[in-house]
Amino acid sequence: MKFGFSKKKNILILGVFLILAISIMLVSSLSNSSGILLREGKNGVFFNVTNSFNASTLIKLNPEVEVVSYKEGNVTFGYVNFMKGLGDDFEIMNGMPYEIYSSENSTLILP
Amino acid sequence: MKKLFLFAFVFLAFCVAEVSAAHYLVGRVNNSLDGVLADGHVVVVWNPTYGISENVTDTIGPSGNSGTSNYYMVDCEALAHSCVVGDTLYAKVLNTGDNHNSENVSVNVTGAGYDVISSVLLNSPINVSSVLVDDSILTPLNQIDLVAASKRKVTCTSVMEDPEGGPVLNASARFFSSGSSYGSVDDNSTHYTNSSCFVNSSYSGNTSLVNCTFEVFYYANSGNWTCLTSAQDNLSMRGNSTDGTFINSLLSVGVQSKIDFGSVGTESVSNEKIVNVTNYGNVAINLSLYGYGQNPGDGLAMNCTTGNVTIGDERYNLTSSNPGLITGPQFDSNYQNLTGLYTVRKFDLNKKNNSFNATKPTYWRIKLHPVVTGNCSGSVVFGASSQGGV
Repeated sequence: MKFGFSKKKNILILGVFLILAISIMLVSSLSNSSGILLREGKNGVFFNVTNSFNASTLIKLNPEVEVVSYKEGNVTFGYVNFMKGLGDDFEIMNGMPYEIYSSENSTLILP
Repeated sequence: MKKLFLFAFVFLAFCVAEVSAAHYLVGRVNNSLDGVLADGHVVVVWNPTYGISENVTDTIGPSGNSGTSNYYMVDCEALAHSCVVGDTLYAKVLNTGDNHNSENVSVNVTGAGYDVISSVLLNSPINVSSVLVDDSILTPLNQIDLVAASKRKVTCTSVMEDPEGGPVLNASARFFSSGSSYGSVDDNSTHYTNSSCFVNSSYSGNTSLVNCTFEVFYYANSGNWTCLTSAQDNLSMRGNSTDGTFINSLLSVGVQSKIDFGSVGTESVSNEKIVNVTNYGNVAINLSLYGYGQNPGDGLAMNCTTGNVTIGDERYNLTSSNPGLITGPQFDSNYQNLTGLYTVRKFDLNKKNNSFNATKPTYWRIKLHPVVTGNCSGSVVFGASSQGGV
């Protein structure tokens, strides 16, 4: 009886993990089709693109994007949609995690 | 099951951990009014709740995070206590050695993607110009003549202006010799400080006239001297400028007003009298000596009621004492005779300093002949000389 309860609990936890993982993968996979769905505020995004592009290009195509950033070690690099763009205009790479701050719900347009 | 669980956990942890969390603050720093570029200066951002020691910084301009001239960009979530919506943070330009900084500007952290800090001006130090250091005798310019055994007032005048139009604060000046430096301690021979100069703020427009005076002692070193005058603006940025001058050599000697030999028997030598000689100048001196009875060149040491004392019968020793009764031959051999002509004798009396009072004894005697009676009086003229003596 006791063993059965523990097994059910493990399966439940594993299920939650998998749902979250699938959600992330779903966001990533959307970049291949019509674009990534963004909600207002911070969004964690993985890109799945064949050709890399710069953060400035992403912001030009998506004026509602206020900030694109990523973390390397303990350092965060960001590109801010202020003036003509402030910050390191880094290259967005396939499969890397990025944080995108959007001022509104939108669909991210990719080059 | 356990392996599957572990894999799922690691996978998810990786996904969550590697996504950045940033909240950027951006701001503009305008170039200073004295023409210094803001680029390259450092901006510090802090939360006053935790103090400025816990901060994030950025370099303004292309070499910093913003990559853009006059702008900076910091991630306030990188603070040790990460910023949250509603925090009020402060930013300012640090003085990194060129005496330029800025006032503090505040920003409220919002829920937006980033926040913009109000523009700020790179603050310039006080501009100091037209520095002139001299004594009250302006001709010849840039020469200071000290006063024997006294002090000379030296004034360091300058025109000061805060480019931002603020007040001129804490005006001060230091006056120091070529062997000294701005940071040396005060010493009457080499270094003077005036920490409370007079500021006339209504001089002309935004400019102030600043007067810093020094009472320079007679034994201040001869040679090149510098006045460095400075003041702060309301953001504690100090500007300064200098002017040079030359302190001339001063030869001066002081002695007691009277040598009283007392009562001296005829055909005898007086007791030895000590005459202290003080160097009241700013260079080492030898002594020039001569004497006369009534008028210079009369060949006498003293003129008496009856008879007189010839110049050669008043004698001195500039180096050692010979106390007690002495004979005529001892008088002749141990003492040099006074002359009626200006004669420089080696004395090597250095100038005064903090540990030397520049006073040295000399030893005098007089010999009387039988024909001399009554009261005798005469003059000995002491002079300071830079010439080598004999």
